[in-house]
Amino acid sequence: MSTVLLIARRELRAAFAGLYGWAILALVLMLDGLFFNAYTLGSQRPSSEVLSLFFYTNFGVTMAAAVFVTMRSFAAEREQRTLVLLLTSPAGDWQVVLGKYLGALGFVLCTVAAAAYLPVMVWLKGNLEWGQAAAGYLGIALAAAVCTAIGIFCSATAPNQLAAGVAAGFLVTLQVLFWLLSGISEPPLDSVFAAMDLYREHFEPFQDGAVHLKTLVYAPTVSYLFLLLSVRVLQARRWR
Amino acid sequence: MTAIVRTDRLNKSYGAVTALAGIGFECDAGEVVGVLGLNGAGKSTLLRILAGELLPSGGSVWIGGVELGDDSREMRSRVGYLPEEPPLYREMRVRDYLGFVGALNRVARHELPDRIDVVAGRVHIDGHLDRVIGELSMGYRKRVGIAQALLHEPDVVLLDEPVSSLDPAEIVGMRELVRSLGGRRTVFTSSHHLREVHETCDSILVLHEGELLAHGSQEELGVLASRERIEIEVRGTAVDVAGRLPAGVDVVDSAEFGDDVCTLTLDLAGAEREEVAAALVGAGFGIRRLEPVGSDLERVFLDLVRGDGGAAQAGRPNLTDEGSGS
Repeated sequence: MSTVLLIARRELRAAFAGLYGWAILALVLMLDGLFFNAYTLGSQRPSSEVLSLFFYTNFGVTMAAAVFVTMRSFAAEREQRTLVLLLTSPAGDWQVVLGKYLGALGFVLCTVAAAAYLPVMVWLKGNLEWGQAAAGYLGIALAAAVCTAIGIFCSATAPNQLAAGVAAGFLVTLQVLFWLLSGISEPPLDSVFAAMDLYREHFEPFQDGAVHLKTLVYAPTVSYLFLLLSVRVLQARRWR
Repeated sequence: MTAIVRTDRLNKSYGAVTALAGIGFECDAGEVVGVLGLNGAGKSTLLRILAGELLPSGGSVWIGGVELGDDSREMRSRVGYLPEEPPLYREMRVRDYLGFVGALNRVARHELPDRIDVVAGRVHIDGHLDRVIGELSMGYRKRVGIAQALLHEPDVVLLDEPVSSLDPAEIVGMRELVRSLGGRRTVFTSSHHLREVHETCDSILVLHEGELLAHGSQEELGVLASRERIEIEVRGTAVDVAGRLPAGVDVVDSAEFGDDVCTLTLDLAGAEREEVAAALVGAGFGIRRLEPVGSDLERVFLDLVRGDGGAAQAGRPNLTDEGSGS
């Protein structure tokens, strides 16, 4: 586990060491602030609705942040030829993948934490329900876990950062558009697609304060699947 | 001596392209091994397999008795690897980077600071430990790359083209460094700079188009360390000049120019140079130029890769017979 944390720590530090990480953080804060301003300030909405709208927009911004952070993960290391350092070390492939995943997820959660001043404003000026806030943040964390795992997989697979970003963007978008597929599919596919939808099926209840057990199973399962695929990609590259 | 590195019928293919074909050799502990070959010969692929970055398509590799595949992580812990482009995180400071690599290679936390200082002193980067890697010259980056390969005190050190992109002063420093690594650990250094291999290596692996053409010490391969290829430019005809050379000196090549000047190419030992010069001056020939144009290793290498291995290996039992596969 110490190797995993070692790699994760380096990933996190690297994200903050360059302009790229700070630019993502600034963009996240700007978008969160703009959406919060557009949806809530000056309106007469109740606090719970304001918080729900905040989580709604924060969900989308966090997904985008996960894509932008993870597109560099393996792809940038391959381009800069530093991945060999990890692949020729005694670290196992799963340790490398998990370390990179936790580092990227840590950064994404930092961006979520940085925007927490907005719910604090609701608490100061309105009537914040702590249960709804906790559920909303749990939902954001679970969605971030899924999107980061998808991004890590795309970065491990794609030949460069741009391709990784495009692929991750596509797959993450697909995750929230499954409900559309569900609407045009016949049984039993419609229920399968509905169950896979990240937003409507899994996140939406959290933003309103409801914690669903199925999501607590869904998010780790999907994350595990994509991380497992990432490990297989690394192993396959050794055979090429 | 104990074989620390052993390969048997090692194969590697990239799709339809065969990078290594049936490579088999053994290397002893403490040896400095030069991996020679033209571009595309399979040098880097061989080192990448020994480093555990790639898995072979067939055959076996053992390092320190541990077979690649059984426990690749255990094998990788015994190897330090410097690829042609050092794997450096440019945003990190040298000390932090070495600390990260040391921890990654399971160096105990309490040992790391001392280990970093010792290795940094060894590769002469001790004055640069607090600098950001991205600000270092290529020569220092290579040194940091070697430091990361040595930090966990591996049994085997693999250096892929360690002198590429270095300036002449850095090349001399790198040569001394590679030489100093031998004895305590086995070093593989790949290069197509024959002089580097000639001056730093105890033994040589010659690869060509994925096949192992020869393996042995320089002496076994017919490279007499003291011999050098000399080109001599003399006023006179090639026949006359050749007739005045001391006994036992063979002319490798000759050329004549219109203004009664010829050049002769000779393979000479150090003392023979003086004898040749004295003989020609004594015979009244004016020597316009006498300079080394390549070592004997160059001759052996070119004979091997051009398929004229017989000349290079005549009378020497050192051509590999263990799974060259060709």
